[in-house]
Amino acid sequence: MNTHIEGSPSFAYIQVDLEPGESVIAESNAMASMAGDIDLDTKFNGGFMRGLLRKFLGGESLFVNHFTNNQAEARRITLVQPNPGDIHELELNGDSFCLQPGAYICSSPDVELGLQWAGLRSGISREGFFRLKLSGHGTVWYGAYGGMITRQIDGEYIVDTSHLVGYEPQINLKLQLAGGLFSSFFGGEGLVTRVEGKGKIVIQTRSLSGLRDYMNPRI
Amino acid sequence: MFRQVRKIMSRAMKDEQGEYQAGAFHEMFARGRASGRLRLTREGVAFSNDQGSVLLPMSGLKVELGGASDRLVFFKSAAEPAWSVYTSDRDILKDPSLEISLADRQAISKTRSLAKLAWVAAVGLVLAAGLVTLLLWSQRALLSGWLASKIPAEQEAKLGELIAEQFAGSKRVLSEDEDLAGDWGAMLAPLLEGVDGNRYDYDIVLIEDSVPNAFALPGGKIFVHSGLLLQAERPEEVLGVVAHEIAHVNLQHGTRAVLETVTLVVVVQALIGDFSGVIALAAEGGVALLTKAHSRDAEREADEVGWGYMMKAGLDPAAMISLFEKLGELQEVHEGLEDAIAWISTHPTTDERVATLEGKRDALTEEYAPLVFDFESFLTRVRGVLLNPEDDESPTENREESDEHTH
Amino acid sequence: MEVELMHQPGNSAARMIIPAGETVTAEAGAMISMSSDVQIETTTHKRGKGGVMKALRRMLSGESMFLNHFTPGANGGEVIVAATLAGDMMVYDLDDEELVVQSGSFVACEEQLDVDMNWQGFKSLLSGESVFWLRIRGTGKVVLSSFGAIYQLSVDSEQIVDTGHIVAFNETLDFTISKAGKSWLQSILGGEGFVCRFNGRGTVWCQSHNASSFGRNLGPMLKPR
Repeated sequence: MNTHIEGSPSFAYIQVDLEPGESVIAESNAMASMAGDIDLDTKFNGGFMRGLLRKFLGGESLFVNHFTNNQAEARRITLVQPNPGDIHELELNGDSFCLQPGAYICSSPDVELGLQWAGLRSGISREGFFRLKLSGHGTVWYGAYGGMITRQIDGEYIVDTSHLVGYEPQINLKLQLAGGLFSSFFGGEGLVTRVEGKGKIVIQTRSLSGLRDYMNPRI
Repeated sequence: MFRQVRKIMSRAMKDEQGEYQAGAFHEMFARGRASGRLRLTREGVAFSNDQGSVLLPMSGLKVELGGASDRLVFFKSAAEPAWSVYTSDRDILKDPSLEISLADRQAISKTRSLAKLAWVAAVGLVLAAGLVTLLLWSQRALLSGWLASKIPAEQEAKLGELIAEQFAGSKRVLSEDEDLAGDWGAMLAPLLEGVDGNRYDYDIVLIEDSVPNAFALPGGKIFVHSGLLLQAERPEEVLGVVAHEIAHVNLQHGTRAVLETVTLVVVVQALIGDFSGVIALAAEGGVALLTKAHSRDAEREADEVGWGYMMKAGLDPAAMISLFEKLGELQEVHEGLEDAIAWISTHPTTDERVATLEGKRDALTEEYAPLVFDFESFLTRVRGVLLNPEDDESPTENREESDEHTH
Repeated sequence: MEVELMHQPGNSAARMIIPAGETVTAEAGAMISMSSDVQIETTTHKRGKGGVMKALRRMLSGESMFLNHFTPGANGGEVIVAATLAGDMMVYDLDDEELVVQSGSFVACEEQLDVDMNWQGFKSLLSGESVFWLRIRGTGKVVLSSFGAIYQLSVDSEQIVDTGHIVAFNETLDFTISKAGKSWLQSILGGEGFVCRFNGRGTVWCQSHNASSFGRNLGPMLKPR
């Protein structure tokens, strides 16, 4: 598989050249264009029931698409994300990485897509009850709204909840109130994420809730 | 009138010499394609521009419609395989100098009539779809009820189990603790007998979570947090909450709310007997089942029906009121701040509901004997179990939210 | 005219250098700056052609009803244009041919080009994306914009493009709207829905993002009007 991220950092997208027999797994709606003879198989994400669960509580799609090149020569497929922003590529060597709902774009077939419970309050703050946990050996591509900043943390760090994109699984997340009761209760606002541990976190420079808050009073 | 104008203009494009504006594909051209002029002669179709020219002989000439919306007329010849010539002027088809084989003519007229047919069919489809959608939209409350009842109970149960696995996976299940299991079951028994015979098998699970909350999953699994249990003063208060949750599940409130967003495709499938679409849809909107509060009507219904279950079980239904009020008060207590959020955002208790329940309490004719159950000692034992760590406790990295509240 | 594209792909603008004697037509509102001696004429139609009907059709396709015609002074001049949504831009040099363009993408063109709206038929309706596509015909340069980065796809063998990601394509391409996967259910549930299959010879210009997908993410978060 030959891949190249283009259009970075404002409108990043991925050009993937699949060798004969190769596949790539992608979120539904991630395909912008592809050669006519690439086979598309829509599978329930990790089995029917598991797929329902992912959809139910993870905010991810029920189905993932398996794009396979069953021809004798290389074929190109272009994969995209709905939000304008950057895309990062991550190599997994038996380790794992957690992603916020919506950040996942595509991955190589050996990467396992699993769910990690993120706590009730995470769901109430509308970030989704589950985080996507990717593990195994392979490559994952994830994206964000805006640019992305990677931080190595050791100890405690505070992140605005709607700006968190991904983090290593050994890092603990705690949601807590930033402000008073009203701001927290009435919309999950005022909730910040306290991250603690040692490892890598990825933050996006913009947030949809930020845009929403800008636009709502003007509508 | 416009059609006449168009005809005049296209005739202007075809010069007096019988030339047409045209384009051609050949690798000699910089972009693989270039524009030029096309002339019909006795020998065939002649294309030329400043870079080159070609003659496609009339015998063996292939004429077909192509390009976007089949608007272009393409000419191909086996004698000149490297060339492909086309024009956008469809009048060329009427030009008497052009000999079109019968097969090609048939293909062309087929393309054209198919296009017309598609137009008519599409208009009809759009109108029909609009009408049906309107009809369904007006009946969606009824529809969602019917669709919800069609999802096999086993499917709902399976889904609930899977969620339970993930949700409770990291939490300690207190109701399975050998010290507590017997009493937990005994406490619930009278209520569960009252709701027997329904579509679902109810499984009420007590889990360790200091956030006071209780909720039901599709298919009959209901979770009660230890935080809620410890706020209660008598067992009827807990049972009242459980009765309310059972009512939500039995009435399929969550599932129905989700199905109100039913789409045409899914309905058609369901009518044929294929419910995978319905299930997928339920999954689609599934987040709502746990995060959003039910509608006011649904809450009122659940209060009513839950109240009925309590009465049928011979338990004092007024206990529902006292616990709701206690949880409502949590808002004002500072330490309980964070805990309140969970309960309140999923179960908003309005003054109206409490008032309705109080009205029902005042209308009660029976006196209810308290449940024979040593609640205090049960709570003490629960607290004891909570203080003792489990033997096979999983390492702390795997515990996320559940670890925040120290006991 | 010469066109110089700047700040691609995120915040593109096009600097059009117009020699004396030529006129450039642009969408109303596209101009962000220009030389001081450039004359503007605003009409509802291409200079000398069309009329209100054409203007209305353009409006239906998402373009503005009004067009601005920029004519520089005796020494030539420049006009810098950009599109409303942040994104990429491209220039295409038409050679007596027709380019099919998604509605909303048109920014500017040399005035001799004909810009007309066309209903691509109900095939487009089914796809759920914009039904109206612009047809730009003639010889000359046209400047288009997109939401997202623009990339080119050469069609030698069949290419599939999600309908929302098409910016423009040559008229010589056959296209059919069809399902992406092996079955209809798969297509709809898989989220790919309807796609365009392109065959024949030509180029499709694609965009990496589309406003409706982004809008679908943002929309539910906005309060109802």
